Amino acid sequence: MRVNSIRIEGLNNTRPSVVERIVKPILESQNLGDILVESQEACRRLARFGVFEDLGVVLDTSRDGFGRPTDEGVDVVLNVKEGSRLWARTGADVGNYEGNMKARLKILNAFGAGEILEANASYGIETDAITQNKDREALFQTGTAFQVAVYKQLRNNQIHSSHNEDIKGASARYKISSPRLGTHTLSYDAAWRQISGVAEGASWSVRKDAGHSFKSAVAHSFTLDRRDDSMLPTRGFLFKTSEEFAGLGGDVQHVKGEGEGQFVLPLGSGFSLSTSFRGGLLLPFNCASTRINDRFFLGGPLTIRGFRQSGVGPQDKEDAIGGDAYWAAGVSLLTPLPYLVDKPMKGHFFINGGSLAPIDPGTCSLLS
Amino acid sequence: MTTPPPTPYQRFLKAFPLKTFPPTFVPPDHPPAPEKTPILYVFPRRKQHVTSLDVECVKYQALLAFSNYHHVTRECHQSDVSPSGHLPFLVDSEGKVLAGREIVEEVLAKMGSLESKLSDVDLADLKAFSAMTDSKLKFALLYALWYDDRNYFELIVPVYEPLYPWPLNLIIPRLQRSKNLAWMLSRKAVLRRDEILEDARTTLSALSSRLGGQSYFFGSKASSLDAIVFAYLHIILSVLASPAIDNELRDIVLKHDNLVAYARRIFNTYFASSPGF
Repeated sequence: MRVNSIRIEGLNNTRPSVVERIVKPILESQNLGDILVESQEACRRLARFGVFEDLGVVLDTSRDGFGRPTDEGVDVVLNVKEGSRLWARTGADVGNYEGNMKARLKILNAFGAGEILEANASYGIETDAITQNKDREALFQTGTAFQVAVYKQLRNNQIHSSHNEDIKGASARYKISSPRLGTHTLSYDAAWRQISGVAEGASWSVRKDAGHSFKSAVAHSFTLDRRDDSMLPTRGFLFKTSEEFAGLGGDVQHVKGEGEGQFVLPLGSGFSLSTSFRGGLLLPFNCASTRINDRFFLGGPLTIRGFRQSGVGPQDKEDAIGGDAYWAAGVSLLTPLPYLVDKPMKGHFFINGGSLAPIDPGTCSLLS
Repeated sequence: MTTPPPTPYQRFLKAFPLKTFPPTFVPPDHPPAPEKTPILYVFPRRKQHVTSLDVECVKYQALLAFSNYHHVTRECHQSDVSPSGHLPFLVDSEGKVLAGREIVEEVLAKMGSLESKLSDVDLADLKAFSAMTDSKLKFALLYALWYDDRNYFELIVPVYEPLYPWPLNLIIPRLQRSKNLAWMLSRKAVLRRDEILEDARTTLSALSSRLGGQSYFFGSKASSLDAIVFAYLHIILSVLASPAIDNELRDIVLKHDNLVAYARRIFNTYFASSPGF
């Protein structure tokens, strides 16, 4: 059995050449099994484009020029339905020590090859050091998960660290993901950071880091998520690492690494036990001291419960000034709640702890 | 009176005492103990200079030196560190960070006024001359350093270049330049070189005749006017000394022998021998 032809129905905005390249392997199939596997693979790759709402494969008997069925061969018909190209959203969200106003405009499949043109604008008070890549402007993204972004971001850290940070930058990232091997992201980021608006009563530790700095860094991150649900997992594990090397030009020179692991064990009848661990290390080159905008912060509902946001670790007066090394670990027992068994709500018992400390430049010279 | 027995809730809480660990980091004192010498942060100097390259910074360096205010001087090029956004700033012995007017108040409170012995007439003169110097000479100096292309690339760009990494060392002086030009244009609709230099010429000859043969503007003791005038004269004489640039402002100063000698004497008395940085 062989494939006589491939028909693609429902292409309006997508360039046929792009789709052809993906479906071509189907033509080389020699038997029905191959045809099915290759068509499925083609569908999967097309779905990854993110521009089709619906994808279906039909195998049709192949007919010759007079409409008579031929003995050998099938026609593969790919029915695709393209989604709407324009997508817009405005909104405001409040939560977790931050409030944000947002506007987003997306043009899907802008040039017919699965590109996504996206513009984001957001304004808000952001105090959480972890969610730093949230508002990027003018994102350009292609189907192969290559992103180029230029962004401008103003972060307000007045509540915990008495300063604002203004970041203007450009970044490029390449993302490879496979369900078996996890997601790898390789990125380059060049950012002009300015710490300004230092509050009148700010501590010297914050004040001395004010001003301009330029970071040029390559980073790699790896995520392997085998949990059944990322919000309320009941089984599986998560493994995450990231490394950053800053110092390709610019005046920020360090290596920074972070790792995180979570294991969730189902105990039966809706109970599950979750353990998590995370740690991070920031090492400057030449024993320079680190800046407040590069250091780690710990504490708050997302890291160590029971402490205020950024409430763990080095402090000067009222300011959290961050640290160069940290660990945090926790054990949680998630239980079903009576009458709410089928709702996404759980009882939660936890023990958590951790520490965040600076690395004395004196010990740094011993290391190098 | 007996204390009531603990409630079950209090007993329950007692079973979980709160333990506070020592802090992982104790911030060092700033200024460093035990001397706690106040620190004046000024814009960096050039290699062969003791004083800062920025006229505002030299002004405060001179004021503190005249007042005999005990302090050390450090360099800082990030103006965001200063509470006012402008250099210089002073960290006093209690660790308070002061800028502009607050520095003058701190010096007044600790060392007393430089002008306590002056008559009312002299005080009025001091105010008038200070205002004139600060407006006319500031304009002329800003114009000479930042407006003129040749001077900007010869004098300003090399100063900023080592302070910031590439590409910020290209961007930041340009931003500063457009800020200074905007400031000048907010005061004069048209920037005419002759007019600006003429203003400077008038101011300098007025200062020269007021000074006459005295050591300082008001007799034998330095005043805040001396700090201001010295700052401008010193910057004009030292920074604009290169032959490859437009240094007409410097030539105007050089015509007044008493002002040149005055600036040289103050520099030798207060700065040349001091360890400075």
